[in-house]
Amino acid sequence: MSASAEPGVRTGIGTTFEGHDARGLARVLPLVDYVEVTPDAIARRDTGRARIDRRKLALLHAVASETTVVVHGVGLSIGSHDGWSDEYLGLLDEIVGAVEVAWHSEHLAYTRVDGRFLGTMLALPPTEEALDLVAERVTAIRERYPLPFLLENIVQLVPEAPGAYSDAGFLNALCGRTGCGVLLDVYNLECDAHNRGFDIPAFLDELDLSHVGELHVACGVEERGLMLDVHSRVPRASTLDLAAEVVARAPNVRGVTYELLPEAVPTLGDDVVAGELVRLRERLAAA
Amino acid sequence: MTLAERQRRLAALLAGEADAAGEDAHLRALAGSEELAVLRWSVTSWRVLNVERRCPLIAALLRLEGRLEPAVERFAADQEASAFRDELGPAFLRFVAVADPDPLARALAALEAALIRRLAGTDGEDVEIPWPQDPRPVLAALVAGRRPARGGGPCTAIVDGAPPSGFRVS
Repeated sequence: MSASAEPGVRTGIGTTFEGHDARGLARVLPLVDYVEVTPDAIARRDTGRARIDRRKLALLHAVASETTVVVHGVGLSIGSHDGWSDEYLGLLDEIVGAVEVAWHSEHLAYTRVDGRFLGTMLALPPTEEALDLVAERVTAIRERYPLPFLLENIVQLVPEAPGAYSDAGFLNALCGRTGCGVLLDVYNLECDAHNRGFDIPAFLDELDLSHVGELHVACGVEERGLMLDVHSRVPRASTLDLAAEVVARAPNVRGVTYELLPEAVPTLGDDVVAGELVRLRERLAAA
Repeated sequence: MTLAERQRRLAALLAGEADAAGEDAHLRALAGSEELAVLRWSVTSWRVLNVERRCPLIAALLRLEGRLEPAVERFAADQEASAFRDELGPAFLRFVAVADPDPLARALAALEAALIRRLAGTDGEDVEIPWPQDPRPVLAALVAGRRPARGGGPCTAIVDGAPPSGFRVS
């Protein structure tokens, strides 16, 4: 996704691939313009090497004949000081080799330190050192995969200390330097606003919205008064309103994704997920 | 502070090493914060959820005994918890089968791991697992949501994939 405006970009609706069985996919696919697959969530280790589960890859292949596929990773750990995950890139290679992928994305974060998995994602400090490190890796990824590449804002439950850049300034600099785009998770913005007083209007005013290529909407849980990025519920009206506002202001948004944990899909049920996709499309159409 | 040092210190704080903050004012404030406590809680909760979904028998036993969260925390501290959802359950079972102080929990974890492998078709050989007591009433109690009674003589569970349970007792 380039930073240059693409006239007439149509904003589609998507949702998570994982968690649906064949019946659920049959219910959901007519309602979306694309599905978003997370390689890590459909991978298993086979003789010591991580691979995409054969059955899930076959299902994804079938889905790809009916709709567009985009990839959203969680395991790249693009911000780790000691290198990213080659294992994740191997999974991405498998998917890109098996189905046509419209764009791919990751989180602007790190999940490993010195090779050890943290069990969560942590935000990068907004410093020149972090910007240099991520920019170099984004450039390498864009050379390896000739696809639009987006980075997503995460919930900063444990915020970093102020650095050389604001949150929006860091994203602007990264996109300007590398040509990557932004996956703006508007629910994450709401979590940050609730948890640490993050100023969403000021952030959106500062962010170069032409870089935004995709939005995520979701809803999670609260623990001890703090909002967590869990993707287990239907989005709140305020989240859809914020998504509609960004779509109206950002010229290059190709998709708004209703993001769900695979574990949440059977709990919510296919009808609820389908209903939310209809509601999302109606809300965006009304914007 | 370099990025490497910052990430190492944050990882250590997340793992519960409060003195990792050093003299850094921001990290010192984080070390005792509710936010860090909730982040730790969410990491453990996520792992517990995965264990409950992927190995329900051992999760039920440990939950009924009030030991599930501590066991998952010990597991995560002892060895690296995989980033892949499907690997967490089997790895946790291997850990409990070796490291849990309760022989019943060790036997149950070994049995559940063998049954999962057999169901997945990754283990075609019969597996013999020594038990401190008959496993059948233990499983019946767990399925019914009851804490299993202790007692009885040792026996062996043989995981052979035969219906209805996938194992027999000798």
